[in-house]
Amino acid sequence: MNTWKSKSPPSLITRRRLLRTGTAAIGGALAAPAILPKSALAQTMPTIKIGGAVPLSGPVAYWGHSTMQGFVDGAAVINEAGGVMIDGEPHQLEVINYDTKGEVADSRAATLRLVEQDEVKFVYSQAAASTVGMLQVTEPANVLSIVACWGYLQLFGEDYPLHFRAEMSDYEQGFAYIPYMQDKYGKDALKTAAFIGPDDQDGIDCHFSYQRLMEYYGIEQKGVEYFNWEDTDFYPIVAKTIRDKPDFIVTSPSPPGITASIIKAAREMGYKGPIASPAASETKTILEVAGEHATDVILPVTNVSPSTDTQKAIEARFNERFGSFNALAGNYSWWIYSLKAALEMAGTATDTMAVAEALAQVELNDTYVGKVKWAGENSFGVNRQGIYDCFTTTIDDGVAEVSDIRFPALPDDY
Amino acid sequence: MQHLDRAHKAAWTGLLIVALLLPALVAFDTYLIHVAITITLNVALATSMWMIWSLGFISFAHAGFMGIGAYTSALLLTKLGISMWYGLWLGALMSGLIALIISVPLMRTRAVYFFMASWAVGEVIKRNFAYFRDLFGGWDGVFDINPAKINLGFVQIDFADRVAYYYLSLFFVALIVLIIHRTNSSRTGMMYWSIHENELLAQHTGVNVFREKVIAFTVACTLAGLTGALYAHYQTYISPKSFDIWKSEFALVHVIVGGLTTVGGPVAGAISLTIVDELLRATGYFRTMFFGVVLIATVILLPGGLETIPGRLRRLFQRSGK
Amino acid sequence: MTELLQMGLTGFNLGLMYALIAIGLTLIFGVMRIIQYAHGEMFMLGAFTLYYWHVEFGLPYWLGVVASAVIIFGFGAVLQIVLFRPLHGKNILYSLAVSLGLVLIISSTGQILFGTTVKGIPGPVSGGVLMGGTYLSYERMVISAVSAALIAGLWFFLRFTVTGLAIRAVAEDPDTSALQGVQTKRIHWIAFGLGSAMAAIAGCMMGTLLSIVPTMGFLATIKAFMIVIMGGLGSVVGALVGGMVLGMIDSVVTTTISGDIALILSFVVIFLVLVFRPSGLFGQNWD
Repeated sequence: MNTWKSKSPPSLITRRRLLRTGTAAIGGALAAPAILPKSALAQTMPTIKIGGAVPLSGPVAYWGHSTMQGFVDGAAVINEAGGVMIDGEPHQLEVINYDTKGEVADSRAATLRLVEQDEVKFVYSQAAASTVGMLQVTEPANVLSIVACWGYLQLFGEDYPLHFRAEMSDYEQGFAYIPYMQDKYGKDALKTAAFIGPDDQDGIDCHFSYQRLMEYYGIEQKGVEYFNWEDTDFYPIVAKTIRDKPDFIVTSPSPPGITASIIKAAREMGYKGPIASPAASETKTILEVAGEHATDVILPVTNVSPSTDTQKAIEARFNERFGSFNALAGNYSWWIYSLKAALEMAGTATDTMAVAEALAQVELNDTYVGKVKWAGENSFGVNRQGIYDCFTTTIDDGVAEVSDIRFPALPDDY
Repeated sequence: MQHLDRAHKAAWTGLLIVALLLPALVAFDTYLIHVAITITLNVALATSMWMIWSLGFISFAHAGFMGIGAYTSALLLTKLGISMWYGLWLGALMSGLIALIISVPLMRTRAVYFFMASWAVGEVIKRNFAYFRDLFGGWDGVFDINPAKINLGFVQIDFADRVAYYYLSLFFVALIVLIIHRTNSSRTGMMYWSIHENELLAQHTGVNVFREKVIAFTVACTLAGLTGALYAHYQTYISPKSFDIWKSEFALVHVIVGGLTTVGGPVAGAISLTIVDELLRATGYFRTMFFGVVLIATVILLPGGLETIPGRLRRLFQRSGK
Repeated sequence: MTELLQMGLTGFNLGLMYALIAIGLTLIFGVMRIIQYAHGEMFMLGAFTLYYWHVEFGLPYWLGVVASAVIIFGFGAVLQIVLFRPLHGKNILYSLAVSLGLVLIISSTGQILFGTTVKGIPGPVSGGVLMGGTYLSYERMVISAVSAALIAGLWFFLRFTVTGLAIRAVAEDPDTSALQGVQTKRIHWIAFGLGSAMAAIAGCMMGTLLSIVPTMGFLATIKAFMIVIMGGLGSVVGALVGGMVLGMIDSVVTTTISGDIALILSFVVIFLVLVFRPSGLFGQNWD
């Protein structure tokens, strides 16, 4: 539904869709506490609890919901199929979610509640702030965490053996989208680059990834600009960026709306080079905002048109269960299946270290994002970073389509 | 009046006893003790904000000054290795010192303009933490702000233990509330309220309005700085975002919902709203919305805030008794 | 030179839009002496009204702007009558708390009803001309013109119509104007609705130029307060000047130095303005 092409006449179904989305959202949220008491099935079977400390309200709620949906849907699917088999005994999965508002202290509190009151052994989270809050609790308490977090690399690796980062950061994505851009535009057309990011730790961390990528591919780095979250107009920041005439612009991690504003401003001021945005997966937004200016836009890890049976099934289920589906939720939908495989492989739901070691070995071949595995041993000492097929969507002349699917060509020392 | 005083005393003593016994009352549930620590910190922040309010204005720089205390104590520990026992006081002092310097120009503004100017001050403080990356760690924040250990000879207390930290923060919060309560019920407190009621009149009756304002603001910010240092060593991580405008806004909300006229107001407001917020956590989507509903409902349906409840009950009781 | 022109144009355009948001706020404060923290939420609701009107239902754009203004006018008036009227004459903090509660309720309800995804409103005009390196976007020109016209319109309304004069009279002295036969209660909801409608139109303009999310109101509130405080509460001219100053800082300082400096500088400017002119540039001295 979130794909750009609404081929059906919009006026016909929109009101109903609006109503349905509204009721589904309200119903879903009202039903959320109902997840808490054990379901009828769970009483006869042992239960494995999975806790989410994710932003469900506040400005970053979009990401929190997308993450939560993957777990709620996945748990239902796994439970229906007979649960998780540990030592020949089926276990049910139970998902508990607490809101963090996307704040560090609040996320710490939510994680404490999950770990201490609900006695959860497996938690997941979304975005840097919630991850920072979560990690202070989970590692000392021997709780396994799976998150989407791009920065804070000092909180990742050998010192955090139970900490997994499932979402590819802009760094890993780069090994897919930069080769693709070089194929598309030719190496000679992409000799210099500029970076635009938010003025916070995410922006700084993404700039670090960008620097390493550009060095790896031998691309000269021009301007680096940070915007404030309070900014409303992107003319000034873009004007400053394109003054150096970079061959292309990377904007990361800029949400879809801001990416679209950057694209619009750049095109209006006559900038012609490609613009890549590794965090803006909403093509519909970009098309709505940037209009005819949306061209030469590169959006890695954005699968706007589900093609395989698995992908189509996920889209259909999410639409039914949550009233909507977006590519981002699709990207996160494989986490729980990976955890399930690890639990079965380790044969335990209590020894989190054993589960972590098993999880690092898990490879899935048919998920929403295609092939999935955990990597990073050579740069972080442990395989804790999720790597998967990168579906790159491009927007050219107002048309968005998946133009490239490739597994990131990671360097040998990764 | 006499029996009222006695009732107040009984209420405060009761609250203190409950607070002292709390870990046992919640059966040492570590998570609930975490909530209790959050409550104490919120009480401290709301009460010191109320102290400024007793002069008739509201400061939105409060979270900023809390941040100064937090950052001072945190950096002393992480960069110089000076323990929290000094950090708490130095953090409070630093916050008070900066408040003193800022308050001289700030006090030129009045009423709503003060409110907004203080907000600009708070925002600039927060932005400075982010801007001077080398000193303050930028948006990345400061990690590993560990609490201290104490060796009493016969027993060693590690304040990383939550029960121990609860008593520590309870001690300081009780101290803060006591200081503010004593000031408020003294002659100084009367001067504050006279400024609150009518600045010009107070000036003419011989109150040095400017001086009192500067002193009260400085003291309140010192206490906010102390709260901040306590906050930092409990959370062990701080970033500029920990001290943004919402922190001040929620402190203000605690004051308003609790009540504006006595020190019991902010205490009651902070305790009840922190619990409400915690209860709403599992509602996800609806958490923020429900909180807003509770806020509006209290203001509209309970004018004067929670502090008026005893009076209302008493009136109800007397009326039905006759 | 062209860069200077581009910066100036961007700043001018931004300043007008900022002023449009801020003028509604200053009007509400001037008449009712309440701090309307949920002003940005009116801005957000206005933008979403236009979004559903224009994008989802496919109805004409400009009619949608009018519809949005009318709907938000009504919504604002109802809010004033139901929530703010009972608090009139009471401590200013109570109305502040209610409006803070409204911020939380409206933005989170918005997330539930409209979804958390970012949306965009296609503009009524597109394209522009590149003049010697300076880009003149037609969209921005139209938006600037609409903002300027509305600000001028409000200024004339307040000076030359009976209702406008009554609004100013209530702002000046509610008791005396009540004695003179002005129905202050009526003026209150009219002013509140009018202020909200201005915010809604600003939301439509800004939403067309940029993108919309249910949580965007808070940023608009912050900008509006910065401007209103700088210009002086209750002053239309002050809001215009404040908006321009802030727009220019945003544009010029961001382009020449950087974004974080621009933000710090705008707060420092506000602080200094207040220290040297404690009631803002054009404000009266409220107590």
